Parts: sequence; C-alpha cells; structure tokens
Amino acid sequence: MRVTNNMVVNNVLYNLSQGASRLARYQNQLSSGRRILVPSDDPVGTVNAMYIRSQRLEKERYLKNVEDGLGWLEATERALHEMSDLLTRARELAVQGASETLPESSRAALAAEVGQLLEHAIELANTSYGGKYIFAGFETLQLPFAAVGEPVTSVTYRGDDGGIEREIAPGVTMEVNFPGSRAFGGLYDVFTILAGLRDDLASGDTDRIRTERIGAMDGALDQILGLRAEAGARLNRLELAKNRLEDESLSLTRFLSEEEDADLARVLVQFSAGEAAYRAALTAGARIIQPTLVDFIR
Amino acid sequence: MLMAGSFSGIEIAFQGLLVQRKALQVTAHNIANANTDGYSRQRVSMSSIPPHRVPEYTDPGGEVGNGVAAEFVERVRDRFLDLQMRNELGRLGRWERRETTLKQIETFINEPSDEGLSSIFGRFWEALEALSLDPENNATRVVVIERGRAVAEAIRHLDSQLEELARNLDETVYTVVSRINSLATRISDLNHQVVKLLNTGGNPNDYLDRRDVLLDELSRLVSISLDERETGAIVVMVGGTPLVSEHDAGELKALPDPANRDLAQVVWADTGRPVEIQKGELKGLLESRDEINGSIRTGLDELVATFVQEFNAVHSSGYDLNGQTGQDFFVPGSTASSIALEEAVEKNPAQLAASLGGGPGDGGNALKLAGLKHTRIFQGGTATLDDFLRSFVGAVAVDTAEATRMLENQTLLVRQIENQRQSVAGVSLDEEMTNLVRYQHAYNAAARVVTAVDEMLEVVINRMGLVGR
Repeated sequence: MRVTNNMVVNNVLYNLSQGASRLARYQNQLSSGRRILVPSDDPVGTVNAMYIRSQRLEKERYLKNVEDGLGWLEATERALHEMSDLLTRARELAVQGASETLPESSRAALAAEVGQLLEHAIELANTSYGGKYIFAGFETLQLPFAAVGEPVTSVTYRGDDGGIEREIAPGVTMEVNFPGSRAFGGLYDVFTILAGLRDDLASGDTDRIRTERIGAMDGALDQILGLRAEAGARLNRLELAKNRLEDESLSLTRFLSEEEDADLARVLVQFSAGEAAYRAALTAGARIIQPTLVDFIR
Repeated sequence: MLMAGSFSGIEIAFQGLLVQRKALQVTAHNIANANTDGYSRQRVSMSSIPPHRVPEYTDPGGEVGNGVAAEFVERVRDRFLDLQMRNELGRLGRWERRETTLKQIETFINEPSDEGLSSIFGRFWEALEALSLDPENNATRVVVIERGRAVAEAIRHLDSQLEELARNLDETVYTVVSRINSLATRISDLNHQVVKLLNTGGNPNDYLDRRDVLLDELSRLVSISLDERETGAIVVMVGGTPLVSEHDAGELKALPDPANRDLAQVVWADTGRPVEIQKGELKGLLESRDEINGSIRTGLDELVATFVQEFNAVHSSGYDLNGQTGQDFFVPGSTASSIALEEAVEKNPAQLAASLGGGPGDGGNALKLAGLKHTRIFQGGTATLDDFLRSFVGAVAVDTAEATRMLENQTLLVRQIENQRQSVAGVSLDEEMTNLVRYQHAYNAAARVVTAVDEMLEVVINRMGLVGR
C-alpha cells in the first residue's frame, strides 16, 4: 500500500484523539466516582439504577411509616397497660368494698379512690401522641372522651370508629390505633362500670358490688388485656417489618452503588493503561511525522 | 541508405528538456499542494515519439525514435473510492445529527441521578405517604403541594427544553438548505469551467479536485447520486430530481409546514414538491426533529395525560379538611407543556383531599394517592409510572448508545476510505522528492546530450575540411 504523508498525519491525529477521549472518559469516571454518567453509557444499568433508586426511596418511606406506627402502638400499649393496672386496682377495691363488715367510713374512702381512678381512666382514654388523640378514631384533633355529670356518671365519645392505617409494604397496611368506642366502650363501658362501682360503694350496696360490679370489672379487664395482646402482636409485626426494611434498604444502597459507581481500582488501572497507550501514540507520532526524504537529500 | 539528420539528436534532447521540465513543474505543483484539501496528485503521462519514417526506406531494425512527448497531465484518483466515500458520508451526516440530538436529550433527562424525573416523582409519592401519617398537619400538606409543583415544573421544563431543541433543529434545517443551495451553485459554476477548459483543450484537473471536494461536502448534507456527462459536466440528483443539471443549478427551499406546527419542510423551489431525502445531515436533522424529539414529547404527553387523569380521579373522590369533595389536584386535560396544580389547592393546602370521608386524622385518600405509584395505569394498564419512566429513559439510552456506536463505525469507515483515497491520490513527499531527483537527472542528462551534439557539430562544422590549410 502506498503510504502518503497525509495518511500518516491523519492516523496520528485520529489515534491521539481516540486516546485522549478514552483518557477523558476514565478521568470523568474517576472524578465523579460514577460508572454511568449518561444513560447511554449503560442503558441496562441505567434502568436498573432507576429501579433500585425508586425502590430504596420507597423502602425508606415504609421504614418511616413503620416507625410512626410503632410510635402509635407503643403509646397505645402504654395507655392500655396503665388502664389494666387501674382496673386491677379498682377490682381490689371492689372486693374490699363488697365485705359487709367494712365500716361505712372506710367504704366512703374506697368510693373516693374509685372516683379518682375514674378521673384517671378518662385521662388515659384521652392520651395523645404527637398532638393527636390516639383513641379518637379519625377525629384525632378533638378530645374524644368528655365527662358527663358532676360527679361523673358517664362519658360521651366524640371520636369515630376510624381505623388509622400505615402502609408498610405496597398495598399492605396495618391499623395502628384502637378507636375509643371499641377500647373503652362497647359491652364493658369502663367509665360507667367505674362510676357504678363508686356509687355502690358510696351507698353501701354490697350485694350489687358482689353480683354485678366485680363481674363487670373482670369483663372490662379482659377486654383491655385482649387489646393489649392485639397491640403487642401488631408491635411484633411492625418490628419484624422494620428489621426487614432496614436490611433491604441497606442492600439496595449496595446494589445501587454496584450499578452506578465506578470501580475505582479498575478505572485507575484502565486509566494508566490508556495513558501509556496515549504516550506511545505521541512518541510514535512525533517520530513518524518529522522526517521525509527532504531531510536526507542535500 | 538514409540516415538521421545531423540535428535530430539536438531536437530529441530538446524534447527531453521540455518534458522533464514539465514533469519538474508538476512535481513542484504536487509538493506545493501536499496539504491542500481534496488535491489529487498529478502525473505527466510521458510517451516516446516513434520514428516517423517508413521502415522500407531505412535500415531494418536500425530506426531510432524521436524522443519523448508529454501527452497530458493526469489526475491520479479512484472513482470507486469517491462513490463509496459519498455513500458513507451521507450515512455519517445522518448519524452525526441523530447522535448530537440524542446526547442532548440525554442531558435533559438527567438520569440516573437524584434530580431526574423519577426521583422527583419519588419524592412526590413520599410526601403523599407522609401526608397519610399526618393528615391533620398543615406542614405535610404544604410539602405535598410543593413536591407536586416540583413534578409539574420538572415536566414543563423538560418539555420546553425539548421544544427549544426542536426549534433549534428547525433553524438548522434552514441553514443546511442554504448551504446545499450554495454548494449546488458552486458545483454548477465549476461545471462550466470544466466544460470550457475541456473544449479548449485545457487541463481541468484542479477544477475537478475542487468539484470533488464540494461533492463530498454536499453528499454529507443530503443523499445525492451523480451522473458524469461526456462534456465533463456532472449532474447531481437529489431524490431523482436534478439539483445540478448540465447547465444550471436548481434550488431547494425550506418552508414552514402548517401541518407540522410550522416546522420547516424541504421542497423544490420551482415546483414546490417535497424533496425525497434518504441520507445526510438534512435527513438526520428532520428525523431528530420529528421522530426522535417528537416521539419523546408524545411519550411525555401520554405520561402527563394519564397521570393527571388518574391522580385527579382519586383526589376528587376524597375529602379535604373542610369535608369538601370533588376537587381536582392538577389542572384537568393538562399536557406536558401546561401541567400545573389547580389554583384552589395550590393556594389552600386544606383543600388537599387526604381523607376518605372520615375525620381530620383520616389519611386514607392520601394513601390511595400514594398507592397510584404501584397501580398499572400506563400503556393500557400494563405499566406503573416507574415502569413507564424506566422504559422512557431506557429507550433514549438504547437509541443514544446505538447512535454513538453507528457514528463510531461510520467515522471509522469514512476514515478508512479517506485513507485509501489518500493512498491513491495523496501526495507522498518521499515520492515527490524521488521524482524531483529523477526528473532533474533526466533534465541534466538531456542537457548533456545537447552539449554532446554541440561538440559533434563543432567537429563537423569547424574542424572538418581544413586539411592542409
């Protein structure tokens, strides 16, 4: 093949520009730390990275949802725990008060204590978490239990039956509240039972305490304990979900890095190889471009 | 027996001097044009002059020729390589434009990153989830509105960037068309020069080189086919119609096409018929403007239409903080260029319908809205928004990668042909220097012959017949 000067020049130029653009690409990868700078660098990798990124954002979101749910349920659990302690105490008082040998004055003291317990029970039912009443259904901004009468004879429930849900996986939700109507009302209305006990203690109606009140106390206690078991089970589930989401989020971060980030060691090696090739091209170019026959003819 | 005349030797040497000098001139011309674009090296075609006497009258086998003649100066060039080159240049031009456009679109899309459309949507869904936890809170409502606004702005921005790109490409169509016209005129002018020179027995080599350069340039812009006539003129056809005829140049025209948003359409200036274009930058430009850019914007419009409709449907079925229902979130019927939030919601976060009809703590509708992320509402109910965005970006990425690869291949191919062309037509300084020495020696030798004949004649004229003087 006939080789002309322009061919040599063109080839040298082409090889140099190829070498330079290769170096520029490695340099870009090194300085940005990323393997994919534009989608066409790796179309499949780009689409994967988009998927992983969206998944990770989602997992992080679900993690926040779960943590929020845990907060609600823990607050609920605490309130229910206190409520069951309170009812246990009230039952003890009822048993004491049912004894016919108890002097009138002692029974009055018991009645006063039960009255206090009733007040406290209303406070517990009005527990709030993060500024929201947790036993109010959806009416979270409104005090759910309002006392009626002086002394209190019953309460009105101003909340609703709304179940507040937290999404913990796509399409999977979990209720994180117990509407007050279900927790403290229904078959065993904690407040009327306590009010009734207080009144019976005050009036010395030991028969009714024995036949009705103690049984009702047991029923209310069972109701609360049942809710506590349910809250505990939900807390467990959320804890599991939390651990899973944390693990997933961590591995997604790793996947994303594997997909998007440059393997520095590899790029560095490629960079050095590219640099060596570029230098070689430069040296060869410098030698080959200069001499022609002109340089050797007198 | 007849013999050659006494002066014939000097005549032969004189011819030699002339021809070698011409060869030296051509060598000088080659060296001077070693770096001229499109220059093809030239060569003096030498041939010996046969003896002009009839053999019967002369010595059988003893006849000597009459020296050398420079028949013509030829241009060393391979027509086939030119043909190949023009074919490949047309493809190169097309892929170049496509690649540039796609690379630009890639930067608009800005993926994979935390600022791309998919991340902006991701944050919007995130805000809706947060709203479902805390629907009573004005702050979470404001966040949803801000992120919703960010979604609308990102889409509008992307669309306006694409629109601007389309307009820029359109401007370039006008520029390319006027470049084609100017090239056609210049080729036609050169046609005239070549024909005139050939008619008067001149040497059109340098004009031919220039014409070839212009033809290369033209073939990069638009697909052409060539027909060289006996007169030396070249006829350039574009899509079956002559752009440059034997005698004059035609003209293309870019006109706003009302059927295509007033974007330019390329037609023949005289007949107004559309020009058929297969290759070249012009083809690449029109494809970039209409097909690449167009399909992406169509995709974006489809995304917006479905998203807005579905989002509004869920939003308007929910209840806001005031117990009102039926409010849209995005302006219904939005396109990518117009997507925006309903002013009522934008101004008043309480109108965000987070609830399914319960009290202020009910975030059920916010959850339903966030759930749209996982609902297959796109492409006939087969794809989620994420799927849609991914296939959207994936398609651009694959197209760009293809264009980059094709451009690399095409560049390599053109380079290879150019190298082959240079190998045939390029000036090699080594070769020219060798020729210089060769022709110089031949010239010197011819001059020596003149001296030799001179000395011989000196003997004949001045020394002969002087016996006894």
